[in-house]
Amino acid sequence: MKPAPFKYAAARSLDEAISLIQRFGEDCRVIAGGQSLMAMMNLRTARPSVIVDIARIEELGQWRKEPDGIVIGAMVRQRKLETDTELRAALPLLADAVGSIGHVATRSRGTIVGSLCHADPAAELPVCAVALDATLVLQSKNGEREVPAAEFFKGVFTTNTRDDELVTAVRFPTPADRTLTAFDEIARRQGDFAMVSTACTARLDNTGAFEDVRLVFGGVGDIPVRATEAERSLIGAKPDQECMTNAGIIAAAALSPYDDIHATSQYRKSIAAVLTERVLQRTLDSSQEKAH
Amino acid sequence: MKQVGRRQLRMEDDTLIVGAGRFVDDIQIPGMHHVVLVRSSMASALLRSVDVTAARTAPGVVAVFTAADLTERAKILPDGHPSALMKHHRGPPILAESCVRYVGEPIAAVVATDAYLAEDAAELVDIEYEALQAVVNPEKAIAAGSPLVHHDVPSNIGTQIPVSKGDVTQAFASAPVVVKQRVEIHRGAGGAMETRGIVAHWNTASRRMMVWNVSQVPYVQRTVIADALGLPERAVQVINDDIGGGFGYKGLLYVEDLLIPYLAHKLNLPVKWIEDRREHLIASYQERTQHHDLEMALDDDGLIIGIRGRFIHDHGAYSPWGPTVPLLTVVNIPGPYKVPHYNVEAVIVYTNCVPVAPVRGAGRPQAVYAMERLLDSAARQLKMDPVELRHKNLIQADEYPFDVGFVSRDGTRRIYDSGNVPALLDRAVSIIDRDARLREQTELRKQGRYIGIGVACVVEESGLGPYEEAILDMELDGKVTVRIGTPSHGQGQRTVFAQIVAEELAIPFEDVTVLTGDTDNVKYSIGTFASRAGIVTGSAVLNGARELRDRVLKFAATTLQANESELFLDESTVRDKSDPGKSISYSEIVHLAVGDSGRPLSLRDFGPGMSARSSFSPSTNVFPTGSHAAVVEVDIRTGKVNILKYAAVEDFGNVINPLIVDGQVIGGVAHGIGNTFLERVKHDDSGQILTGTFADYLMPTTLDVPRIDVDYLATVCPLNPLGMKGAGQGGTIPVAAVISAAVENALEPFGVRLAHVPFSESELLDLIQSSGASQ
Amino acid sequence: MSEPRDEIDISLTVNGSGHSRTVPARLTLADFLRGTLGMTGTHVGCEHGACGACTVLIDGTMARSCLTLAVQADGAEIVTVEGLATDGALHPIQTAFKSCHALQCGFCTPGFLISSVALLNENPNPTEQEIREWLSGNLCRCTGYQFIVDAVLLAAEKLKNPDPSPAVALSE
Repeated sequence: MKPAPFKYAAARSLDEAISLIQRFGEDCRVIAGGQSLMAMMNLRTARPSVIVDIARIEELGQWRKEPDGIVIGAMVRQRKLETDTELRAALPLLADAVGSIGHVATRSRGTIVGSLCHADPAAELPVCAVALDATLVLQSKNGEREVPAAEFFKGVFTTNTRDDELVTAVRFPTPADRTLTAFDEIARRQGDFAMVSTACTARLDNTGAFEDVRLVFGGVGDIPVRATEAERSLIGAKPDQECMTNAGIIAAAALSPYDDIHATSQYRKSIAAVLTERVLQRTLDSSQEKAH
Repeated sequence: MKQVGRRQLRMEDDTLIVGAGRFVDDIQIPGMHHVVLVRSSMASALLRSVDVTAARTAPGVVAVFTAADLTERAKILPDGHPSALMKHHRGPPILAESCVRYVGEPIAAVVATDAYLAEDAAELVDIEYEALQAVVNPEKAIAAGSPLVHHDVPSNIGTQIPVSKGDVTQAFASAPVVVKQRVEIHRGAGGAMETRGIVAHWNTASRRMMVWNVSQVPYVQRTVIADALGLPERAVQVINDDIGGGFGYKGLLYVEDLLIPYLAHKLNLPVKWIEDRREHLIASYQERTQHHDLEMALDDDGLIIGIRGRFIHDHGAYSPWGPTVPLLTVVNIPGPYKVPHYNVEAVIVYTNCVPVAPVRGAGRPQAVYAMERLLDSAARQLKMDPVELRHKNLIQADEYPFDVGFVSRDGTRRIYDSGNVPALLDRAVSIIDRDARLREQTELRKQGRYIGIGVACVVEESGLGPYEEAILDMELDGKVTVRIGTPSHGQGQRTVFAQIVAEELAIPFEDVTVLTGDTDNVKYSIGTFASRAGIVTGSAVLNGARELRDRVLKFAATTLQANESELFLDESTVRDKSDPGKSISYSEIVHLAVGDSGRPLSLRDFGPGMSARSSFSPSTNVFPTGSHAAVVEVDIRTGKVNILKYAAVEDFGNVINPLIVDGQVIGGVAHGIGNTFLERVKHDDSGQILTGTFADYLMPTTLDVPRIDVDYLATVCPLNPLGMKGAGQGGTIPVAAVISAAVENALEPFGVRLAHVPFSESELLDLIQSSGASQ
Repeated sequence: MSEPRDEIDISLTVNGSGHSRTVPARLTLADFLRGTLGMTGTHVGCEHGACGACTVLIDGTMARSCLTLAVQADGAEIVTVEGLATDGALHPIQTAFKSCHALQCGFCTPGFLISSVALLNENPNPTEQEIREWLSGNLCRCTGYQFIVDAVLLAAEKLKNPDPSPAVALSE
């Protein structure tokens, strides 16, 4: 399985990359880590006529702390979330999720932004991005725009990226004080795309009740799905088994997952309920971890 | 030094660990071109036209072949494994001509300067299909009104194979207990890490067709290629240096085996074809599905009176290797149990899917699954401990040789030679500490946790005939070269047979070189499959080593003027017990035996050289046995199954290299785990494959296979000089049955019944939820 | 400005030796190593990144060479299985694979060796679970993985306590 013919250009600067993308539009694809794109090209399900390689644009390989959040450049590899202690501390939800993303070899080359741009319905990072209210930074000849994660994912492998735009970074805003997070998923085998994945962020008020909860699911639709009803059911509730079980039931009931060869819709709903409980519990437990 | 029975490290590893292996895709020949096959995208269609004009003129293309470009003798694939039992044998065409019968069936071959360009050109082949209705479900295929895969095979029934003994009608009529079961067993694809491949080169200098391939049965290819090309057999040489796993499906005959050499011959160009992974999952033969409807009759004490029923076997669109798989299923259902009355019929059904032929286990996992599920069902009905029920019915150690009552796959009377399965079962049960686990089970249920225990017992036939040959040459340096015909694909034949020779001839292991994987080595060989090489080739090698040993001793006795009975072999030297001064090295012996140019041979009566040529011809099958046990935990909220402990207790008779056999068992169990949870070939109703990559066809990983506890209780096989029984498949065969039994046992409080395998988490959770299990 | 081209000049080192070639844009690194350079130790098992047989090190990092274009490796240092032995001495992982019977057909082995080396470079004391997780992206159909895990544990031991005597001929 060899890729169809294409022309290749290694962009040395952001300007160069943007010029090339502008020029070739929908005929061109950007290659960062290539773990998703190359598989598709080898299978000939993706057949761009031009590949623009952004790996040599140094500024894209950095992440930085800004006053209002973390900005991760497009070439930052997923593996950084396993090896960079500072980054892990700044983004505990992603640190929690990264072990479920593919395998260490694919995480060594695949990028965080790349996974977001690929927008696989069962991928882990889009779910985290929505849970954390991330914004994607897109650049074109016309300048820069930012798109919130909730608007970025449009459909299966489809994002709110125009043909002349390059996603250069993802920005994770600094969370409110005392935000707890956790990620969990159930896949056929470890590293496979999730049958269902769940990201949770939560804050407890000074009485210990849920003050703010976000529950986002992946693998249950074309794009990440927020379980807003389940979230609402938790506000003001003391975290106990009953309210978590209840949240799971509400979350599952609101989902319309697809059937595929790996799992039925019914199965996905069932484990969505289980994952809700598990991820809520893990979110609460993460406060214990932070304390130590 | 004792070699047989030693955990000898493998000499094969020295090249493999440095990446110096020589697999078929590593073969490079100057001027070599690449072949890409254009395969059908329809499961059933008439071929209205195949237009290759655009492909022919694409960059790098030297030729595009369709059926029209093949000579008559190269149009249909011959039957690789003829069987009188196959009433309607249908061999695949080398390239489809008037119609296609499965997605993946080859239609055209593009030959280009490299694989990339060949793939580009393949996309330009324009095929006009007239779609016909496809049938992919074997039960639908035999129903009235089903589309026919072959217009002249009524009801798509390729053949029916009934096997019987005794009188089941009578037996069932008076039986106090009858259990009935319908099970569906799916076994999936082969999945070796190396896909198939062929390199073919018409050597104009030697006027020979040289073919490198991955075949476990290279002599079959040699014959077929010679015939198709109108060449004498000596003009075809099939070579396999290293094969990246065989697992049965590489020991079969495929259209590419004939097509690729044909292209090389016709074009007078070396050509290479490498199957890609997608092709493998679509078009390499696989085992797929059987639906069993069986009944077991027992008396009130749990003694089996009889088994009857039938099963439907999905055979795919053609029959390139006969009814091997379902035949093995139908003769293996009784297994190591006493079944006085038996009548089961295998119904072999053509469907519009890729042909079904052996994959490791070859029909026996299906038999064991069906039998063991019946036993568990009977145990439940009789309220009897499932292990106790098995003990009641297992053939006892003093009952061998045991005549099963019908003939085996090879046409000989099915007589189990030796064994002690009750002891294997006891050992397996003891390794998992069943009694303690049962107590634990009771406690854990109170906590809402569900563990379960399962067991299964198996017997398999191995060591098939008709023979294997071995040629042993002692060379001027006193070292020995062994030539055999059965290729190795990971089981370390070169090491194991060297151990036999090293011990017999008292030479260092390193001084024995075993050559295989070249049809020039020995005249004929049957091939490596059905766990036969260890026994048959091994026995041939042993016989040859003994012959050589005799020759060495006699020669030495004459040369040393010593009494042969006083001589012994020691470190490549013949020594005299009664006279330490008398000795002669092997090297010296060979020098004498080869002689000096122009002078008479010193021992003319012996003839020249120090070689032996021997063979072994088995009279019938031999029968390894095994018993496996497993402890699992089931998460009733997610359907996930965790294997807590797995024991495999095997009787392979004498074992030459226990290290290698351990590897075979553990690897076999891993394959079985894949067959239990993960590996399913899925088609949609129109015959399109849904599992065409490793993203959807799931193989077990390091996190899916626990540590396996392996143990052996050997009963020596009386039917070959090695006392050996064959170890290649025993690891795989009972796994799905064992784990299914364990899962069902774990879910006993909910009354979940497992009747199909593999089962995903999703399917298991569905069963749990349907049973009304509390969440 | 780099103009998109069908063929690109690349220079890279493989196992310490420099190579410069003009390659098609779409040539995978796996095919470059195997075909262009004739280094057939790296094997191709699936071409969609699922089996790990093609794993090499690119600038010290594990990479599936079937999912990498040769042109992406321009300027990089590649290590393949052929480069694990140094000065004729096998890497402890190689001897461990042999002594633990961690290979049967040998096809997946180069990928496992490279992946194991990458693990031990980063984590000299892996637990069994850590080994299994790290290697979960490498498929093997022959061994059932058990002896592979043993081999990595043994190699970790040997790397911590280098053995002055040659590798033993027998497993223990």
